[in-house]
Amino acid sequence: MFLLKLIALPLFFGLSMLTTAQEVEPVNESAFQIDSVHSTAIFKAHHLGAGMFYGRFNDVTGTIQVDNGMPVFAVSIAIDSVDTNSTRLDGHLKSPDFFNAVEFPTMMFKSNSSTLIGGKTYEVIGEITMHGITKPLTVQMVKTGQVKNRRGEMIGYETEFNLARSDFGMLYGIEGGSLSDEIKVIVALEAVRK
Amino acid sequence: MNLVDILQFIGIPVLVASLVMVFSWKFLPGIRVQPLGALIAVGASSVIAFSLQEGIPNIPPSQKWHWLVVTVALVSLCACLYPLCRKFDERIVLQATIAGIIAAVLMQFPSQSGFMIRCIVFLMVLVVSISLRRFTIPPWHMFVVSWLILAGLSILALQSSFAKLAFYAGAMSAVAASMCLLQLLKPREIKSIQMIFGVLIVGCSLCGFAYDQNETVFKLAWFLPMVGLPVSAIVYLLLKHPKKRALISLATVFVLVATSVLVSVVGSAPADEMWP
Repeated sequence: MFLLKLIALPLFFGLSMLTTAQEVEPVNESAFQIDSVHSTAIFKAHHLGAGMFYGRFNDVTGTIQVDNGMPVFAVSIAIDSVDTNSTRLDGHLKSPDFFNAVEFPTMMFKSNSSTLIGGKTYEVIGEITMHGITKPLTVQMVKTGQVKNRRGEMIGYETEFNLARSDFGMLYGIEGGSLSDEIKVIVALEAVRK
Repeated sequence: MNLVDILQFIGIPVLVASLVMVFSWKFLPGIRVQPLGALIAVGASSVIAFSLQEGIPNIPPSQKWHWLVVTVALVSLCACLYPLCRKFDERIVLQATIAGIIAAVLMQFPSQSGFMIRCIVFLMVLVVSISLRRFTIPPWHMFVVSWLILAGLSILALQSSFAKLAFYAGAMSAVAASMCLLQLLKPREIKSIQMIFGVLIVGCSLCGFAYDQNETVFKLAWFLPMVGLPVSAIVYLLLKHPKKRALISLATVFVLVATSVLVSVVGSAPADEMWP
């Protein structure tokens, strides 16, 4: 009997705690989950002072929270998903010469504030973390649409901005002029209400 | 990667190492201080080879692979302290133990921070450092072996698209080759330098292994060149004929380095044009 109590008591308390945790979990009506299939992060760099070289990240995840009409972004990009249509090139970008995917597997952007600056354009202020370095970043985010359909409520945003990779300690090829320091980034997000 | 990069990242460290050695002929003539020339040359060229690509490393480093150069620098400093301790330069096992402890504590590559892994790192440095110089192995032989192995590791780094490690290992390989030539030109007393080359060989192998994105079976190629060292040392010990034992022990190392490069070539992605 004592043995039964010994097993049953912790089990009872454990289950009751689990139930309580589920009960208090906030249900946020304004949170959208980023759809990684229909979201894209594209970058371009100037290669050898000649052509513009494009690549993309295939795994873009995160959330968009809409508070009083103002979007709050938490976007995460898996470095391992870099895609340049060349396995060798992808490997080089993942190596410590560039992103160092083993040590820094994700790149993150978290916004702190958004301001509507006209039409459907928001000025979003936040922080970007890449290659282990966090820097402030201000982007102009355009709301590309918001619809309700059979998949639920969906929302879309797009932004274009420039980054200096030297700010994030990625110096490979800058001095020799083989690859530009300035990188243009285009991020297009589509999210579905949770 | 172009000729300018090669001249800058490999040529400058070799030039610095060679100049330090040549100046040491003039300024460090005494038998007791002669080994300092090679120690300073290799230690300084290692820091220069790294700094040319990544700048002076921070302490603690911002990326784990930077621990490689910090460890090599510290081991070089320890090796330079031998004039302060009587007969330290003759105790090869003690030197290897010190180098092994420093490497096991400092070298922190990804997924290699466990206690057991650190014990293995210690053993690796111990065996490699001893194998480089024990059993009456002459200095020129040690330099040739280091040159071969570091050149092999540089090719492996290139195969795994880690250009900075490729340049670093390549530079240190070229430094070993220049040390060998200068040693043949003007034979000098060489002591304790196997500590530095031992840490370099083990460090580059572990670093390359940690960041290699190939399948594990192909990643094991990183350790093949290192395996050649104890085998080569045993061959050197067992054979008595001076020319034969030198030739066979070098051939042993060469075969293992060539095998590791072949395994890496088979395992890596199809070779289209590499960035940039």
